[in-house]
Amino acid sequence: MKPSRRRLVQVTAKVRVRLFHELRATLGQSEMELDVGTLGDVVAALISRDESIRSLFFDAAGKLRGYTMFYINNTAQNPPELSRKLNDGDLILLVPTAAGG
Amino acid sequence: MTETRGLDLDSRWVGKPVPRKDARGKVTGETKFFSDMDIPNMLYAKVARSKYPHAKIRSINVEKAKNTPGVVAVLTHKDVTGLNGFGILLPNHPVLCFDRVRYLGDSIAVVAAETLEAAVKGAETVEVEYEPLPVVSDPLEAMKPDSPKLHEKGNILRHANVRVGDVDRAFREAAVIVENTYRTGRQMHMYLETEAGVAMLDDRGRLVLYVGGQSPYRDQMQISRALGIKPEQIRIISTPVGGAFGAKEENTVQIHLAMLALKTKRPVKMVWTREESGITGIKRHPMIVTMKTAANQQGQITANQVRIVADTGAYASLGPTVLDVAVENSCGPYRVPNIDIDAYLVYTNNGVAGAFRGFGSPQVNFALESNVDIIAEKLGLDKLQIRKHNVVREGDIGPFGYKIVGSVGIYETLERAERSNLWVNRQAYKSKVSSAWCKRGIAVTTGVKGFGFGALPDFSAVSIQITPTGKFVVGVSCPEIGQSAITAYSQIAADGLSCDVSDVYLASADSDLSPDSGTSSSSMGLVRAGNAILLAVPKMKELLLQAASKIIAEPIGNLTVGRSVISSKHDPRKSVSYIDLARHMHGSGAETKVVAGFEVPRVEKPVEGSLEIPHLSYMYATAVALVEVDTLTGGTKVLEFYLSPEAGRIINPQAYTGQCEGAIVQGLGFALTEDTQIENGQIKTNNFTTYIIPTICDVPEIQIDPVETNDPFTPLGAKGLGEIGIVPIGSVIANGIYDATGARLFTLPATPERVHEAIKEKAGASHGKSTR
Repeated sequence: MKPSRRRLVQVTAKVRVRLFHELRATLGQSEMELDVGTLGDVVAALISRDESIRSLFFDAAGKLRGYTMFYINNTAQNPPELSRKLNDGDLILLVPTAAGG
Repeated sequence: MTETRGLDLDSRWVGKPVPRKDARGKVTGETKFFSDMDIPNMLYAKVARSKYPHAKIRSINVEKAKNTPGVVAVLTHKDVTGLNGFGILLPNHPVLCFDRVRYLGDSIAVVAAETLEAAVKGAETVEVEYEPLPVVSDPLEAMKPDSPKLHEKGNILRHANVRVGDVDRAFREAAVIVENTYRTGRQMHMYLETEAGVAMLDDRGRLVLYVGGQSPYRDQMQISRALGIKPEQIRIISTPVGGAFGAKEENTVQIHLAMLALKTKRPVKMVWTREESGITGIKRHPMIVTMKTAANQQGQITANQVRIVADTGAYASLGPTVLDVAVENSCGPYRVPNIDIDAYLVYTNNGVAGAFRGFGSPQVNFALESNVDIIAEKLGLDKLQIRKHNVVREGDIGPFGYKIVGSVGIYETLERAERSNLWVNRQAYKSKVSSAWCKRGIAVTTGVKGFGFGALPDFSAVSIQITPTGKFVVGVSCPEIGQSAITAYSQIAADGLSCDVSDVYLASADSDLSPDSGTSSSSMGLVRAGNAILLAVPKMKELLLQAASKIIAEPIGNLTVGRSVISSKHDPRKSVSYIDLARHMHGSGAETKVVAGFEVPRVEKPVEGSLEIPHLSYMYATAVALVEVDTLTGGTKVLEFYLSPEAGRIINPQAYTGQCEGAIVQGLGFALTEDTQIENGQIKTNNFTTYIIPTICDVPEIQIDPVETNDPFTPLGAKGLGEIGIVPIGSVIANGIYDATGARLFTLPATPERVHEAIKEKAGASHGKSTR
């Protein structure tokens, strides 16, 4: 029997999301597991829990701000691509800007 | 008289000179800093650092180090289990280097041993094979395309360009134009306690760090990110701190200590030596500022064209935002309709520059206030009046086209200065000299700086808990770093809760005890946490009223809060003390703790070309200095100093004065002596013998004469204060030297050699390229 050439398309991935600073204070937890497809889904999932954190990610016109640093498996995403597909076991770090002068 | 806004504070404590809560311990030496900690079974840590300012690493061999008697662990980049990088804004500073070093302080391995001597020996025996690379030490050379690149994207970390109006037209129409290039030094923070801490695992295997930093939660984030462990696995206790001034916002010993404690499962202590601190620690950005300023015949400033080159050293740290603050303050507190600012942040092999009190503002202030003095002289105008003529006023639109929300008291500070004894009697002061070859001068300059993070997100949470004995514990995690913040927090809480200030205790800046209150930085600790306390107070009062209502059987609406007591409005005999309330609350399982968060107001979108411009409120100050210059040696002494700050509502007059005096003395160093000498990447001045800071002998008579306003920016009405005092110091002393000798300084610090040289050259010196 020939092996099937059909592959299952993985729609979502189970990822861990680690939150810092205002994100952690507002959402009340520092780490969560999400079933998501893309980096943008992570952001959307967080905003759906508390709308007030939207401004940490997007400006009034819906454009991504540079305020929050994104890391996937300890690699900085600069600038982050929200359409980036995620894989099972990915560790996402979201670090809002924590300094200035 | 200060109008009270926000909560209905009866101001029993706010505005009063309440003694510092930490004074006795610090004065008597009872306070033990983390560098004083000794724990049984403790190891000592030492970092093996780069021997070259710029080199490739061919190999690292730690076998000899591991075999050194007493050495317990030697860790390299292979042991960094998360992101091998730190940096609050951009984590491009390797925790432990593996392929390249970019300055002398770069870390290659970290050693833990039974004794400090063994740790030092172990670090010395780490074998590294280097391939030296060309050293990039001149920021102007570093900007050239053919310069060796220190980072993948080149040596220009950031280029900011902000334009308003039409400078070319303004220059064509100007009555006077002054253009000069100014340089400032690489000032070191020189806190009494160098970077230090102790890390250990608690009985449940959690990592606990005692480390004097400026925010436990930022340290927690950097360790979590570097080691790939959950933040909850890390507890940070950040006080007491033996001085910080900005440099301890960044990771110093934290990640290395955490790695060693996890590896050895024993307490580990690391204290940087003074020399190590000098080589490795953060510095103030030296800047080259070319400023072309135009004015009309009446002395109104019409245009300012500024080019800034800031040497940020080997890694980013907070450099990108320091550059923003320099840009934002390039036009000072003045109305300038036409602006063109081009600013570059440049990598070199000259250590690492980052946050330092003033955060880019003192450097550009020196340039601007020198140019303004020269313009006044060219137009024959009084140097104080030209400033009064130009400063922003309440309700003005700021230099970049946004409305200044906060109070604007700069004009009033100039009025105060104008009436000061030093200014009124300046001719009399100048006429006396210590010897025939000495000359005296008096100058006046202004300063401005935003407080907080401007357009960047800024949030602070605090907690208040009532103890079983009716006292209150306020949880604030921005650490006390010498600014008397914990006393101010206590005053605000005590007024809000109608109790004695001695009944308010501040929890240590501890990530387990206090919520994330933000950082003790950007002159913002009081504003961040103070406003969060104001928001937490009504929540706590609500808990108290609910409990009292049950105890004395009266509806909450019939109750009134007195001094540590709640009673019926209608029957004063029906009352319950906080002590009894607390007993009831704790005994009945009622809520005893509240948390509140304060989101600092900010604009929706920063000014085009910037990261954090604008701030919505600013601190202001006017400085007057009497200096005496020895014309034979060039030695300069500041004899009298007057500062009129405007920093909103005064919470504690004693602390207010102390902050200003400290800033002035630190500014004396910036102005007269302090500059880290680096030659080809090698630091020549890394201790108190070669790097000269002011001593008590150099401190002049100082008068602090505040203008108090009630800043509408936040409910508290208080602004930041910590940095404004240092902003105009370099400029006022340099202008004072000019007033005394006629010699204009274009480089700070104004060392005797530079002043002497300037005096010699003054006959041929021009005050810039005057084109009209």
